[in-house]
Amino acid sequence: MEITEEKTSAQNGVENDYVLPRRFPLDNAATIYPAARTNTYACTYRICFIMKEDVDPDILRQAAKDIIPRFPTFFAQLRAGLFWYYFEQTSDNDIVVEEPYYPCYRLKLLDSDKPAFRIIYYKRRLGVEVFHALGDGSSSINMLKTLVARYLTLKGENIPDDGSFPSLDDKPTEDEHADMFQRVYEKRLGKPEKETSSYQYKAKTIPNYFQAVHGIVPVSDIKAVSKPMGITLTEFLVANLLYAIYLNDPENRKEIKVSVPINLRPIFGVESLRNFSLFTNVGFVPKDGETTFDDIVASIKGKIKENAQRENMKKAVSRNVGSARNPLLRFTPNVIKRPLLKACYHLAGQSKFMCSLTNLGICEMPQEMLDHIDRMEVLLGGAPKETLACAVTCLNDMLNISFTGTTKEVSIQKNFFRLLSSNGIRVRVESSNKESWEDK
Amino acid sequence: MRCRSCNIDLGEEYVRCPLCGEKASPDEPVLSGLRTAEYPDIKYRKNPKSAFLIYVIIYAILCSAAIVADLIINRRVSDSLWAVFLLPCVWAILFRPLFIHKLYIGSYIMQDAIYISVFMLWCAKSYMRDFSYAIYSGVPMICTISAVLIFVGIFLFPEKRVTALSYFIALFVIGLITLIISLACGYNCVLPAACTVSSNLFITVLAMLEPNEVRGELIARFRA
Repeated sequence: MEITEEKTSAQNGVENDYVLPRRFPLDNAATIYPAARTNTYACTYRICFIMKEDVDPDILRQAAKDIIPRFPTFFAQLRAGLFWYYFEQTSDNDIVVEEPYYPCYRLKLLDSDKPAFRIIYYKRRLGVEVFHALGDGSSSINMLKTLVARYLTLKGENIPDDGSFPSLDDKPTEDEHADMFQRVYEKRLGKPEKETSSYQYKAKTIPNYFQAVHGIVPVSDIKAVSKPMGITLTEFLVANLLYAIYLNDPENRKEIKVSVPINLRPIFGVESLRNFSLFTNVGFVPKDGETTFDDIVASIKGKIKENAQRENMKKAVSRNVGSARNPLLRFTPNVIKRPLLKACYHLAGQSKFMCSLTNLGICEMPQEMLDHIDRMEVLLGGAPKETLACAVTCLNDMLNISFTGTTKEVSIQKNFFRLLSSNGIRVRVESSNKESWEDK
Repeated sequence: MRCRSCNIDLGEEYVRCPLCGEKASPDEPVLSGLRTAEYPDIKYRKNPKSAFLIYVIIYAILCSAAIVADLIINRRVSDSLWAVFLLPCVWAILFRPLFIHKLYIGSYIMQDAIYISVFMLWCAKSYMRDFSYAIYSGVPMICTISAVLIFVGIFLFPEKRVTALSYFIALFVIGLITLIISLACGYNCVLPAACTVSSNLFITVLAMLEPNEVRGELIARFRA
């Protein structure tokens, strides 16, 4: 079925009687996460706002309660079925906690009556840590914006509904909760090209350790450098990251690849509160002599846009959905399927890229909300082999580039931010590791 | 504060650069008006499975010691294998109930039924030289008792009522298997039939109590 720019029933003013079933299946992209989860890889990410004032936990708890009916797919817990995992809406929704452990610490799944995400606060930080099967970054940002809008409203602020986030006055729609991958799927599409494996950065990882390094950069500074090169902001950051990895190990001659998630919502013109994104890998092969930044720019220029074309994305979606629809896989019991999927994910999927760089773009919201928020952070819980992950967001014309990893090594991050500052870009760095602080 | 080596701004709290470790210099930052978003002092948390692993290792050591001692003293292992099977059963029957959380009582009953059934099969094979005693009496009896206990549980904890459905289905399947084997081999069929019928009856009662929930649970659990 072709997805067009059709309006939802709610937008058309038609009465919406849709109710999400108490139990609902995982979307196509989500099926891998329960299997891929390990003791040290929680498949969790964090999205948070840094407010201008300390967060009031009591008001936040009330705001969290108020948004439950609007986001039923988030207030759900993973359950194991005979063939597949599924979600069940939860009854115990008291999930507001003061930040207790490392960012993105594993969530309790399956044997829990609480949802597979938590709302965290610590001083000025207010955010959510979400099990990736519930939804991707775009859907979580929408929920977080609604949560913060409600929080500020309860604090006595007047937050207008400008359509930049789901309103609590609207009912959830079927389109928001549907598995959009199934709608995009077409049976007879060619397969995407096979990918070669990537260079892997080896660093000593520490179980349950998690370090975040944030770089705060004015958008105008980066655009002033990237525009004359004829590349987009994301391409510039990807090139910068690839060069930082290359400088860390200049002897390497294997292709270095970075995974870039593509938000499929604008491509297929849909609004979804589930997972609806795919990855594309871009990279370069280091030359025998010295590779320059310009070489890398030339190698990746236009690649992300080309890979993210509608037809290419459709092929990738059709391959993934087609595999899940294979009768052999469908009727294999979950107890057998889980270790198989886990092995595929860790042996094959992870080897195709060295690290991921996700750009969630500009976070739009009413000025009345922006007045209370300093900046925004996104932290990716890195996969076991992936010792480094990078997420980028933009709020108030400031870019927040967050590196996360399970290692104490920061050489690539150092190269990355030094490269930015050598281009005349102003950078401020913060770290979750307090060893560099006074009296620590 | 700034790091002169990296040419970056740092927060007021930093005495060293978190990237290169160089001493931060008290220069005016080039990006003004930004405040550090503080993280809590991070507490290290062990993997939750490590305690389980320790129990398994202790159990394995105890079992190995018992088997070796049995081999040296009696030149056979049958008595020590008894101990190997007995330990988890003692744990399941005597100690596990102390840790039962009321919400997961059905799960505990099911797991204990499986422990005890395996133990009975082993006893029957080892000491009566025949599985049949366990198949037509022990296993269906313990499954019937479990089904009755879980059935009582659905009235005590109505909020977790629907989770009992999968347990009843599992017990029904076990009962059916033992019934088929008993019929085929000409064993006494009373207890296997009791297990099959009671589980089936409890599923029907549950479906009458919570028709929509049971339907939803069945679809979700068995969707392929």
